[in-house]
Amino acid sequence: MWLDLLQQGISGVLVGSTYALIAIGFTMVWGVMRRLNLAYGATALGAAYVGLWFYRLAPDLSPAVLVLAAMASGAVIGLLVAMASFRWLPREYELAPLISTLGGLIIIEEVINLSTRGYPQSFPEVMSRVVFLGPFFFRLDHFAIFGICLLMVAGLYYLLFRTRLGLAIRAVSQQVVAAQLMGINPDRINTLTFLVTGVLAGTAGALAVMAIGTGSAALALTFTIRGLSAAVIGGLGSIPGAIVGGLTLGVIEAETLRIMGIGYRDVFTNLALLLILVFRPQGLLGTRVTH
Amino acid sequence: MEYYIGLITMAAIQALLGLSVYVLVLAGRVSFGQHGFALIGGYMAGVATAVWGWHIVPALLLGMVASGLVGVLMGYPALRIRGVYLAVASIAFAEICRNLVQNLFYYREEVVGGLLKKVGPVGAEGFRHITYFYERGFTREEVMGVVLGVLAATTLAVWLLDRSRLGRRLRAIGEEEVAAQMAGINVAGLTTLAFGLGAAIAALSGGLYAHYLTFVSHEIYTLLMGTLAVAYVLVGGPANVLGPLLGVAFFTVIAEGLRPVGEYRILVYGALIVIAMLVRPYGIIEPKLLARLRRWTAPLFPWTRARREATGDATR
Repeated sequence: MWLDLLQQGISGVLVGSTYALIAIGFTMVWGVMRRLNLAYGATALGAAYVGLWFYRLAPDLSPAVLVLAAMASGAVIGLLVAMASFRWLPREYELAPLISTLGGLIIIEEVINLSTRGYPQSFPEVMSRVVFLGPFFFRLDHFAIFGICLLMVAGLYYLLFRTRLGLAIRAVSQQVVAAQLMGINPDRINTLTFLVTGVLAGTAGALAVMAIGTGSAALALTFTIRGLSAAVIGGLGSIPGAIVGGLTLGVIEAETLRIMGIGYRDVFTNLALLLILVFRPQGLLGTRVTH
Repeated sequence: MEYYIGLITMAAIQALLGLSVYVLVLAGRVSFGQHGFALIGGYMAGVATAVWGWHIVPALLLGMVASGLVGVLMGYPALRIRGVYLAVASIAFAEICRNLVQNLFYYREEVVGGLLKKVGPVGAEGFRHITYFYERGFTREEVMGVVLGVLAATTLAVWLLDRSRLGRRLRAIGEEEVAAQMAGINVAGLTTLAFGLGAAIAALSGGLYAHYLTFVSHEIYTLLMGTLAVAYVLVGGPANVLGPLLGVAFFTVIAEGLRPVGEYRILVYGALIVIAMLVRPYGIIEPKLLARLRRWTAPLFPWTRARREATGDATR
């Protein structure tokens, strides 16, 4: 019994790492702009599909092609979203970009739907082996995904804390006006943030869909809800929070699946989210209470 | 003709859901989960007419009361959270509702012409045979009439609410909560009330939808429904009660104009939202336009001007 729970918990952590990557995207855009990019989950899925298209052009190459192409196209889609839904909208009115990115979500989802004629697409596996470690067994691809997620987070931390761009992003995130007075152009930083988070979206989307095995347009919404939930559980604006939130969500899902069965899994996942929102609105690691 | 009747009925039902979002927007809250309340209303009213054999009016009222109470319960936590947090919480709430009805079994069996009919919610299969209207010989036109009548009455009620002291207080909360509180407005009570009202209107929309379609399931009340309801309000303009109606009309008319592109319909909806926000970020009916309209029409209504000057409310 306990072994089972532990086994599920570890799988939850591994799967949760993709939620964490998506959550980081939500959290970073929130951090610099105090706005939510609802098209982010769809960006991840859209990028994964573009990656698949490239992979099919050269199926002999490794699935790494898919991930790399997804990263590049994620950046492009992220940039498009920034242009269409943020750049020219009034800065003081938060509802306009909220609903506009929602339009973006619908557009990306429908483009996927129409270009695949509504059929689910099968994605290549990263690795199909299963390893046994003592009493536990793991899917090796989950390990690979977890490893790549760790790498991406390490890269992101390097970017944020060791480069000038990272310094600027953190400055805008802390105080826009002060950053502006220091000669930083917030519009440019916002756009670049979308580029960076777009790369993360592409990676997360490609890895998540490859772990599932088949992609469908409906996943856009799943990614959005999971990523957003993870970001909010951890505390919007906090990158460590997004990681903790993603892993927590993965574990909650895996454990409720084990204990309650598939019929009630989502009920308890959502209930956990609701309870965290009500009793700890700033999230697990968030400190500042923004209204 | 048949087609347009269906179109208008659907538009009116969506406009009702838009109005439920509007009530919340008054208090400065955005909920993407109104479809959860619509689901409660649809299932409650459906069970009342189809399983218990009630008349439709008490059935719809029952749905509204049940959903309104749940709305008040949801409104309480919403006091602590606003903005995107509330948006996420409302999505989580609606998802819970959708998940729960997938596990809900409450039906009676009926044999009609040798076929077994399950009337009532059958888990993930959904809830069939909500045939109240069609059993009683209502034509499609009459159903449309009923829905339009309900929409007109609700719009009037929301308009009166908007103009009342209560509405002004709600708007004050929406503008600046702390200031409203310092002015002696009961923020907690009124926000909870707004949630209850919004939930009740959403339930009305959901109940009518269930009886119009005769079939509902967790796949009918989707997040797309809840988010489009918000889109109607924001695209139409949250400054006036006509905003949500205009938003629905805008989407319906343009989507109809582009009917030859058929399968691209939802894609067009998405593009319309993005374009509308780029062109008119504050909605079609925005505060500036309203002020201009008021200035132009002021000579036609001298008495309102006199009253405004008397009460010192010169800006409105």
